[in-house]
Amino acid sequence: MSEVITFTSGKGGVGKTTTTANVGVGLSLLEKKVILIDTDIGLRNLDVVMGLENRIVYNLVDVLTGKCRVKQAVIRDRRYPNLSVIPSACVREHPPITIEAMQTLMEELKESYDYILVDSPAGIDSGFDLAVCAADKVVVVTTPQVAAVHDADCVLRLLRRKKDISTYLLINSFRKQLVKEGNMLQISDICELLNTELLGVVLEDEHIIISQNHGESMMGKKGTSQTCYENICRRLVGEAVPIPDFLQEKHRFRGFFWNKPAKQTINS
Amino acid sequence: MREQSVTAAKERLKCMIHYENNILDEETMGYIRRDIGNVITKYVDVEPENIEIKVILKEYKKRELQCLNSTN
Ligand SMILES: Nc1ncnc2c1ncn2[C@@H]1O[C@H](COP(=O)(O)OP(=O)(O)OP(=O)(O)O)[C@@H](O)[C@H]1O
Ligand SMILES: [Mg+2]
Repeated sequence: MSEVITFTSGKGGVGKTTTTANVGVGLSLLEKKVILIDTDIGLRNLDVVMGLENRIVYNLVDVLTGKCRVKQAVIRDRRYPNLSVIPSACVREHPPITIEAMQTLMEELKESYDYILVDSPAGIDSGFDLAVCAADKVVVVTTPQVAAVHDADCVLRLLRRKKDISTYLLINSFRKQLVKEGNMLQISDICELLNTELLGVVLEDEHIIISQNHGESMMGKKGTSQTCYENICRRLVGEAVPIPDFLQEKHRFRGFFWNKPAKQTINS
Repeated sequence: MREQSVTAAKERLKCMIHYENNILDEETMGYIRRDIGNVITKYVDVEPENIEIKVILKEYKKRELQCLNSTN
């Protein structure tokens, strides 16, 4: 059965696009047919992050206003055979698109794809309504910072009023060291404050920025965030993957690094 | 030494989230006015527009005060 999953947030820049791209690649690697839709109209991001900016012919606005057929706007990612993207438009004026057109498009896409991931713009205005109008699940992305958590609560409050949508929380850019020093909210604090089921946690990882410079995802690469995305994908397909205790894990991770060179010296 | 900043973050968020989740927004207030107005006109011969309805959440006021005390 197909599912529409929207990634949204109150505050901007918390990692919606990054999450949509990496979870999209991750799900496609689990042999699911996936399409990503950028609904951030006016500011295209998703195609840029994914390195597909040179392949755009038509965009979401063209589809929703009937300027082209759906197929003409779909970009197939050659690196991942199960993954496609419909990019957004770079326009200044808000085009005359309707919620009904978006819902019709989503229904049509459901026939060909297992997962339709929607990258929402920040905020709670018309772009938000468009992004969530056909969602089965909405994932609210937040960082552990006060303004982001506060805005996540505003979005969650709006979403609770909508029927037939299940809401989840995703904590992005989690910094273990800051938490240990008592200067960043813990995962449990955020869950308690926002009272929403946690889909996953993504650690802050500079490799994300480096990958995006190349227009590539984190999947299949080294970097602490890769496992985080993989876990999120496995949870989405229904596996019971626990949230690791990141604060404990750090110690084990360090131990592992210290042991390895020592062993090598003994052998050689 | 300065207190760990996470304590302040948690307290402030707790208050903000509690406040905003318990406040009556204009939309909800509209529904309440309409519903209560309908009940009143059942018993009193008065036009709905001649009724004024005000809601005071006593419990909420108390908690707001507690929050203010704990963060400042
Ligand atoms: N876990 C992470 N670790 C390090 N950097 C990250 C992480 N997640 C996102 N970033 C970086 O943060 C920036 C903002 O991310 P992104 O564009 O995904 O946010 P967004 O919520 O989509 O923003 P907008 O609201 O503008 O659409 C990007 O430069 C991205 O590379
Ligand atoms: Mg974005």
